[in-house]
Amino acid sequence: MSLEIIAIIESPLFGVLLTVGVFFLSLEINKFFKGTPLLHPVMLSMAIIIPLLLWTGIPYETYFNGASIIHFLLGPATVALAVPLYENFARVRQVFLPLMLACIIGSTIAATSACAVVWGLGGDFKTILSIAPKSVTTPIAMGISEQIGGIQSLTAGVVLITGTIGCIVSPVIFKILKIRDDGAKGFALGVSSHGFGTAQALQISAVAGAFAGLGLGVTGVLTAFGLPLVLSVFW
Amino acid sequence: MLLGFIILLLGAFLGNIISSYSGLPVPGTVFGILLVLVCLAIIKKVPHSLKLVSDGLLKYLALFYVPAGVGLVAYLDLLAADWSKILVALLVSSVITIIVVAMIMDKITSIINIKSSKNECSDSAADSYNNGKSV
Repeated sequence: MSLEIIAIIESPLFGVLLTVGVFFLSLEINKFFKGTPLLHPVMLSMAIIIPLLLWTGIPYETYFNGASIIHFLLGPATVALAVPLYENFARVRQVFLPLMLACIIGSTIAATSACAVVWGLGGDFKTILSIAPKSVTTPIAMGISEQIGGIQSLTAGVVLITGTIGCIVSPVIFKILKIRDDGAKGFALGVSSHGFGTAQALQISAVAGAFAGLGLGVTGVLTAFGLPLVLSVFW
Repeated sequence: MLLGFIILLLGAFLGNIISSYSGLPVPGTVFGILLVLVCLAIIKKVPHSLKLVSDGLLKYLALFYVPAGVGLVAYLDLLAADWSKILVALLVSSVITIIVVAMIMDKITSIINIKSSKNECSDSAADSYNNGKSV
């Protein structure tokens, strides 16, 4: 590669443009296929950008040089969840206790079922520990993984895949189970698929988004305190 | 609009400070949500500028996950070792979790809806529910 091209790729503009451009393209593709969950915009963007980086040999660090600007907005955008949460507070308060119960059951099932399957298939012990916090938002999940002796990077990868899977399978599950309540949809998405699920829930409605945000937060906190405790009892 | 953005940045900033000083395994953004929520509960309304910015940001929340998602490229080697087991585990557990949580929530809301329709009260909760639907 010539020096000029390297300079262009290393400028933040490249990462920003690639991310926003591919995401826009993914939205259009998704729209073209009538919004099918099989072609989720985030998954589609990942499926385009990852092979592109591997094929061109551009390191992730170079891409992230610009993409970090987009990534940065994740912080304030997550805090913005306070707004739909406040606006739907009356509804959240009405079902608060059942909500906590659903969350405790949901996050327990999320962690144990994943560990059980890996264990059943004869997976490595380290893999089991790394997969346990998979339904929790990335920063919490990596912290938990470190604490219980998992592989942090593996956990980060597993969290991303879990989020994508949740977005793909949830519309089908909601249809089969005839779930019509937006609060139920949102909360299930938040508990099982953290931020990815919350982004998806916001596409359903503000109510779903509010419940998803709550699900994400409570699951994260519960798992962070609960998982190391449960493990210390068994080991 | 600028003021709204400052509120969110400040929430994230103070949240991070609380997170690192409390020593709790809770990320700063979760504290940030709580901080902004408490402020909104105190002033009892959402400032117009905050509403504008948060609507705009939340509309594209999925976009902000793309750079982290592409980060998967760094873990491909790690995942490759056990990929089929991991994928089956994630798929099974995601499906079960979503089914269980959605069903519990759906049952609860249908019970509450029956109760409130029996009482024939169009309380604030039902109203905000309908408002939310149209957003």
